Amino acid sequence: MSIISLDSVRYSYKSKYQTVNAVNGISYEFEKGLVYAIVGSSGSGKSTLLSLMAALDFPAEGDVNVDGTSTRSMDCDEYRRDKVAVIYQNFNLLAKLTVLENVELPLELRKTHKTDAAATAKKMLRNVGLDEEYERRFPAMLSGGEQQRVAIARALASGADIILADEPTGNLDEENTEKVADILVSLAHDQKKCVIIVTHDMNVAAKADEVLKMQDGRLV
Amino acid sequence: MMLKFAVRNWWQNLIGALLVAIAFVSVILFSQNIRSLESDLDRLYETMTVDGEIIALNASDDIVLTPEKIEQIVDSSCVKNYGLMGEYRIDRWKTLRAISSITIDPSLSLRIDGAEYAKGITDIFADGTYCVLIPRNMRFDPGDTLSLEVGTRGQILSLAVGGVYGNPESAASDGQILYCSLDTYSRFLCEAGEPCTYKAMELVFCNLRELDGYRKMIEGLDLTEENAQLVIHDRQFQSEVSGFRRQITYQKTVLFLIILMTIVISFFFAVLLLRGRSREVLLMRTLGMSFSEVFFWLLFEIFCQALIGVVLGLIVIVCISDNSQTGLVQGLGIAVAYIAGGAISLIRIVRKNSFSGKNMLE
Repeated sequence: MSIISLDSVRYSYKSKYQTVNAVNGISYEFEKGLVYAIVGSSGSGKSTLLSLMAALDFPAEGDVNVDGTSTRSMDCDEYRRDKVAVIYQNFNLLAKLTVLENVELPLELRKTHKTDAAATAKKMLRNVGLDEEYERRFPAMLSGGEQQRVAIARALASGADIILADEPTGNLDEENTEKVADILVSLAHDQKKCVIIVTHDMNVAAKADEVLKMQDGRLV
Repeated sequence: MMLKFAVRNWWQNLIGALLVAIAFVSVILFSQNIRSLESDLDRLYETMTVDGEIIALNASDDIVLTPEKIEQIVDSSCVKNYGLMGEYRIDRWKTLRAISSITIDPSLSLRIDGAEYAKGITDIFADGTYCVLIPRNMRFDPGDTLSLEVGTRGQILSLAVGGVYGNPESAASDGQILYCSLDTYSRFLCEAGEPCTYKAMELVFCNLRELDGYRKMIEGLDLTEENAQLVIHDRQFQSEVSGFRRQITYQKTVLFLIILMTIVISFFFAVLLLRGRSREVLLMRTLGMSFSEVFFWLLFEIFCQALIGVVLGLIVIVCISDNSQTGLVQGLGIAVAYIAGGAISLIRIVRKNSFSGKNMLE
């Protein structure tokens, strides 16, 4: 059964001179335990589609359904807190928090006890290959690959079933790209998450179970 | 977590706290200065000697003109010097009684002429607000109750205020009730400063507070042809008291402006500080923080700034001021104003960043 489904989703926004149909009637179903790669040229609507699935925005027409419930009718704060995690190209770690605190953040938002939150965060950091010495560092002291792994650890810590990654390897070198891609794949295959990756990198896309190509707001 | 963010953003919060501290100290110093000026004015009211006195009867109950009270009226320098028959302080509206039916016992007039009367009854008018002046041609008997139908406040005022013209040289002297404003009075002064057209009663008061209260009372009275002029002599009031009042008004205006400026500055300061944190706000929203949680998270930092600012300000005030308690409420008002300004800007910022997925993902 699909964990997230798109039902004739349309979304458009107005630029200065024109109305852009970023997502143009997409229907699709995503399942747990699989890695999906969404590829396409810039402006094809990949990131917009991801934002709709993360309930960061709502479709103009159609529905994004999570476990059968439309994002319009659900508590989106709760959804973002408990069910979905987003990994960004530019990592989006909080610069003033340490690595450990960044990973603890989603747990604290879920009112997890501080001791438990710390233990879980440490475990997630180990899962992405970051040992104890990284815990007290601030994001600025890490390489891009390390920051992205922290971001993945944060996504893991949230316990979300849906992992949305927007160009997660866009700022990484080849070695780190490989590592991050492997982690995302293992999340889906080992932990039965639904991992949806928006990427330009065909090597990353090649690791996905299904590759969806977007063009002019449509899946082709 | 909120505390963690507040600590990590320590330099921003310190700037905010310093801003609050400066405003806090300024407001308290201004408040203390205003209080000091008001005290000076009070002392001036209490100590300044003026040219005459009010004669009155204390009328906390219905006015009953007992022989003793009548004695008080006639045993007065005003009666002696200016022919004023009497004034009655009215403490409660219901004690005002009509004076129209009262006429003065001719024997009192007889007693006025050439009488030697004692002074020193001014204390009974210490807090007086309203007066009834009994014209000379009115008659009343010892033991009579003054009765006055009280209608509107204006009516009370017009009936309650009056003076007795007492120029023995004038044809229009006896029995006239006189009213006037200060401006009117000035038109009757000769070059030497003495009334020339009339030898009007100079109601000059034991202290300027009384004079001021009396002056306010007669302002706005509907003067008719039946009413001649009551004269108040207040040159000292005009000069010294007005000077104090101008200063106080000025300082209060500045105080108000400081509070207003604090709100405006705190608003823009918060906008400035939080603009750099809009991505942080967005990220927290994508992690599932609700609008209100984000709002209160940032408001907590504004609150911390205000709190630290107040503490810093208090330390400064204790060090530099003898009276650290004065103006504390106004100082705390600054902290509240700062939080209010911050809250308004927060609503604007959090709303603006709550939120388009495009902001976060692009």
